[in-house]
Amino acid sequence: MRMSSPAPSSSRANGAEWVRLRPISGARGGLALGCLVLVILSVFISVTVALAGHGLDIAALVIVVGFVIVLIAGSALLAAVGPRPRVWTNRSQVEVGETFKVRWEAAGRFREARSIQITWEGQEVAIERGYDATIHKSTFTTSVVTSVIGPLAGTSSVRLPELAMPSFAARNARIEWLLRARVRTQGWPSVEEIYLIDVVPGAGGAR
Amino acid sequence: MTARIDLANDTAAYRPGEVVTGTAEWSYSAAPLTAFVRLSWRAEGRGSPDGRFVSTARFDGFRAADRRAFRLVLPTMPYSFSGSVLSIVWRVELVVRHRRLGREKVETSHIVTMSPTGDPIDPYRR
Repeated sequence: MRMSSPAPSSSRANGAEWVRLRPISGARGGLALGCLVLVILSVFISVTVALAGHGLDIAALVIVVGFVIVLIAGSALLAAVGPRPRVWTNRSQVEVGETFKVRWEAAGRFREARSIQITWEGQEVAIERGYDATIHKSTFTTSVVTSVIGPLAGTSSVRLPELAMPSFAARNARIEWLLRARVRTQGWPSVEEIYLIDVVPGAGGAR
Repeated sequence: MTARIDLANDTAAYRPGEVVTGTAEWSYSAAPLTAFVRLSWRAEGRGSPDGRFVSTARFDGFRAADRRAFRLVLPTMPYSFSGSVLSIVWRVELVVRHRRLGREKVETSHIVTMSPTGDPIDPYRR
């Protein structure tokens, strides 16, 4: 069963013990690094081709491809160093029917974020395996924890229905509960991160 | 040749952790080599097949026509589920092997529901 991924650090604020969540997606530093390596490689290839006298056509093509990669790398790099969401919950596992607290903030070293939106989602996932795996997803619950016009830092509560399906993960089937945080910054790429929350059966669910 | 499963609970609705009891009955021309009842869940829908055999009640010393009681313990997860791309279905199956080199075959099965309410969880129902 997939679990939420709380970082080992926890903090205490307003009398509540907060567990910092670790995102399962959205880390773009690796993408930026990979793109930079490709850029260096494409520059090296274009110079080599030009010097070898194979004509400027091939060199120009390599340069155009390198330029596109530069754009992708630049965007990923800006997103990696720009304002990012930080999300905490007051528990690492949530029982069906319970209410848990969410704390958030959008922080960046170079720029201030314009807005942060956090949504609470439940989704069913079916994986069709063939030559490539096709992932079929359907979201059955979406609720806004904080709207885009809300504050850049704050706390809120999320209540799970009494008859919610707990988290579940098999090889080709998953039930996932997650918090999706999207930070928007003026003149900067938006950043979206997803945090899995482990929803377990309530005390009344089993005998 | 007949085979059937009768559950003690007519509604076939169980809560997580409960025990599924019933009888398996068959009538063949000769006594089978192997016969057992198993409890399994299977993920159905748009994904590739998935599932697990959870518990098994094995019998021995059977006759060509026989009737055996079984007792299978349900786990706490996963609940029966009915979504739009995924369903989780629980079954009690009678599995029989007739010949020494033959394959084990599901002779009959019975769908059961496991959830706190007794109905499959439908997350879209409001």
